[in-house]
Amino acid sequence: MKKTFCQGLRLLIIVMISMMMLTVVGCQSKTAAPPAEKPPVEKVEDKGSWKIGFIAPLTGPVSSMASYTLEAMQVGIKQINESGGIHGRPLELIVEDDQTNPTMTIAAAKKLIERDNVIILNGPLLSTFSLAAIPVVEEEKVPNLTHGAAIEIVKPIKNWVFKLPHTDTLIIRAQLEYLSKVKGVKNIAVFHQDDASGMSGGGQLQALSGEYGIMVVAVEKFAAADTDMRPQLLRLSRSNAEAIAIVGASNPVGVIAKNAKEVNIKIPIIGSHGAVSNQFIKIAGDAAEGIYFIGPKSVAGEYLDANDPFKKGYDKLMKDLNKEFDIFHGNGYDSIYLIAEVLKIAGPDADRNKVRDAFEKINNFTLVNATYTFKSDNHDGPQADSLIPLVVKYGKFIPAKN
Amino acid sequence: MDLVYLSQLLITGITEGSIYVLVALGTVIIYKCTRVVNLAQGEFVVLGGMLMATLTGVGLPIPLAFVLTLIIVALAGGLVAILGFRPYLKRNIPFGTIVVVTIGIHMFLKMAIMLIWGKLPISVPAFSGGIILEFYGVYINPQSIWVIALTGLTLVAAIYFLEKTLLGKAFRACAENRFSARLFGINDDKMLLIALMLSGVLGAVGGATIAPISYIKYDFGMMYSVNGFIAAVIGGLDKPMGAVVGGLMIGLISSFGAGLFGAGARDILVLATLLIILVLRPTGIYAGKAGG
Amino acid sequence: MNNRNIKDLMFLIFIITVIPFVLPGYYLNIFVFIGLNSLMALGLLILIGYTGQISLGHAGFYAIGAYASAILSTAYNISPWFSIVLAVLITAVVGLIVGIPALRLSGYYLALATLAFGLIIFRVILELYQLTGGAIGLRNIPRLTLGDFVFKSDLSYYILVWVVVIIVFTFLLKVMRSPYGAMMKGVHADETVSSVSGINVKVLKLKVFVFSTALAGLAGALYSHYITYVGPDSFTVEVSILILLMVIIGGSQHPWGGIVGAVILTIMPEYLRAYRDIAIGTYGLILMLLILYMPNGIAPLLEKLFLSLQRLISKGGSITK
Repeated sequence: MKKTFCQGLRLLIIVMISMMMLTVVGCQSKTAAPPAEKPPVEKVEDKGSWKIGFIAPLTGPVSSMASYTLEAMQVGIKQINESGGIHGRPLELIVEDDQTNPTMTIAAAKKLIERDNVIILNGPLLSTFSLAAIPVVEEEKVPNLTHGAAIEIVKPIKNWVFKLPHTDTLIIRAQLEYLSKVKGVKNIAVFHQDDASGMSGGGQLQALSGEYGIMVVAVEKFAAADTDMRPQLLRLSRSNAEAIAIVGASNPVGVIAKNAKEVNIKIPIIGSHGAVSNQFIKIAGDAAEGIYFIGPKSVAGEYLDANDPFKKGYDKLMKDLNKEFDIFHGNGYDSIYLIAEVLKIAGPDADRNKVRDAFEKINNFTLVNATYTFKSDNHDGPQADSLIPLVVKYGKFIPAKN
Repeated sequence: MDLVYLSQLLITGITEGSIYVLVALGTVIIYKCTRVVNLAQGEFVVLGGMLMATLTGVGLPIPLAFVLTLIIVALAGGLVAILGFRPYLKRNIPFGTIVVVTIGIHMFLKMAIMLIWGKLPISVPAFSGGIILEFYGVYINPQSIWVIALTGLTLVAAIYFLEKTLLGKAFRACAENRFSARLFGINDDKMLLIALMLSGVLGAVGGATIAPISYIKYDFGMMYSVNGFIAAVIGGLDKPMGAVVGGLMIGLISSFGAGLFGAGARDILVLATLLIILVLRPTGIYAGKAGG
Repeated sequence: MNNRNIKDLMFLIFIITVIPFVLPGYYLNIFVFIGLNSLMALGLLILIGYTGQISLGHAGFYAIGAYASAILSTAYNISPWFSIVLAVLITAVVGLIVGIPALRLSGYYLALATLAFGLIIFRVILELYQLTGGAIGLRNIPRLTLGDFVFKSDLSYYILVWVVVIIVFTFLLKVMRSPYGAMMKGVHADETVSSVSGINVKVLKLKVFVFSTALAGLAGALYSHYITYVGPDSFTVEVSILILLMVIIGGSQHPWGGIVGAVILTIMPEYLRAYRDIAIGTYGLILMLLILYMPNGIAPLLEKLFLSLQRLISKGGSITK
């Protein structure tokens, strides 16, 4: 008995030593491992920079969205750092990939908050992940500028969560407004994606349509990776709908446009801001012509008047972007400039609390995708003034005239 | 529900089903030869679509691009056989574990495709232009006709290969009974290569023909693999004709399910069918040759 | 309980106690997930390694446990502890219902049937959005409380989860190294011989299956009260495959296989995150290499490593004597 106990004890000691060694080694490599995304500029002093955390689905089916957002963020950071930073300190972006998995979103948030001590959390992208991160930022009391569009993110209001993209409600209302006032339709079909934004948008279309004198006569769903929408479109075409309102992302909406042309759907189709990207046009090809969307003016940025309030920001971004504009570029860029403004207001000794309070002082701040206002009882930033009806003509998004 | 609507769904179903037929057949071929279910089968489909996009993009005429695509994917299949299958089969690792290996192969191929072609969806030009045909109110995308026709032709070619050529007959012998085949001097490794190359070609035909209808993306592989697996099991995992039946069944159920009951019903109906078959007749519904 | 079991348990308990002191705070979050994954992996371990069955749909049971506990504790205001218990029971019942027809199948057919089950559950969650919140999910799931203490911090949940794991592991160790375990392995090796020897093979397989689903349900319930948010994206087929990989890589024939696999496959993505784009391919390659060179999994190798270390020390000990 004693012998085995001694053996056990010795084993325990060995284990203790090996564990210590392993964790020491592990700790070393951990600090070396996931590299922080440093802005492409002069070397950044760790102590001196404002640390901004960013969570995005950099791997997975919607990674392109994340890449666009990130590119534009880096442009924004470069521009700001080159003009001296905020209160003399540069901005530093620390990026975490949540692998399009809400469980990983939470792990990423905790890492950024505790390990990297970020002063503010930028992202996550997409409503599902934004919602997942909410409990974490509320508990840890970290200001969160989130990139999800679903209204549940800010209704009911959360102390620490601030919304960047247009709430789907605004988009939905704009869609309904356009359909009733400009197109004069009375019956519509709703075709929405089966993810968080899509469900939210689809629900709101049905709930709000009455206010515009429109009746929803058919509802269909699609999944993000669906490559054949013909069955649903055929079902929709059997109803007496005079138009189709869509809530969904570029890839499936591209297929919808293509399929709609195939099965000879002639009624107007209007999509949401989730699909106003060149990817949509690429996939839909010729079928993209004549499809309407509600989106921010920036999407048709090239065609804006010189004195349009959104033209200035658009040009400033495009000057350094060197890529075709995508709505996610706008989001990324705006998020950085919003954060910069918030830091400015919070002062040189800003901490998380001051940053949170500073958000609520932002009023009518016009950037690329929207004009932002945050109030103590409303953390839904973007106003509707930048939203316009768009249409695809000759392979480009232009403001819709009729 | 009128005839036009149902016909429309029928055509969509057969088109979709054709791809599943090709993947399922590839799965069955590999299964018969190695008793392993290849979950990387879908990657061949994706490769087919991607290669067509690139080759037509550099200006090659479509027929040439198509043939080249098949050749390249066949070679890829060969590589998978040598690097991904042979080392494990030689070590007598249990079949369930080798399926996990195919998952690893799937991950690796997916990454390779992503690195080469990127993460964005890729459009592939239609074979004969974009004008949609109309036939008594039923709209037919000419690409669908290509899918069905080429699938049919490929099946005929495959059958010819297996039934009439010496190599094909040797392969069948190996698939039927590996041990005795070996006794007769048939080379195991060679048969493995044929199995994978053939399956690769089958998948590539599917990818090349269906990609123009919507688009192709680097992460579509697993979806095709799983559906192909389901189709193969429904038809009977060791029965090639069963793969044809199973693939078409899934395509039709999928299309009619979505068309008649809405998008949510699509998956549930396919899966429910699978479960019913598994419970009632696990060896597959195709009443072909008994055993396997 | 025999020596080997005691040693194994002491080792586990020791490591679990040491970790919070050695690693920075936010890593506890990862280890909570390792614990939850271990629960599922352990269930799958006895299923695969000891009775030779398979499940590609365990994420479905994970989901049922998570959603059941979430719904019971929010919509029906049931105390979280109780809702966890109920959730486990509900999962087990579903496991029973699925198991009875499914276990008549074997090999690929069983794999596919369980895969189909997992996919159906995913769909059902999306479709029944009145109940499950659909794609948006359920929020504000109440945390577990003990008097005034709330299980909010990572540390508290870490301790909770690993206490559960240790209890389950103890139980399984006893079973796996007992004659009962040998019997299960016998079933795995040859069902006909087993049934002739008087073992009710069907009942045994069913019991093990239901038990493994109950463990997955338990993991799910614990998960929901930790994250306080459940959404369908956490219960995809990828998760089922991940748990399967944990068992295979860890070693499906070794009692430690589940935990070892869970540690490796939860930590590995964390490290590979730095190399995002090639991460998944590297992952696949590592998988393939592991199976090629260590087809019995990593746990047996680790055991050998520790045993030889131990022998080394005792030799050293006997020399100094």
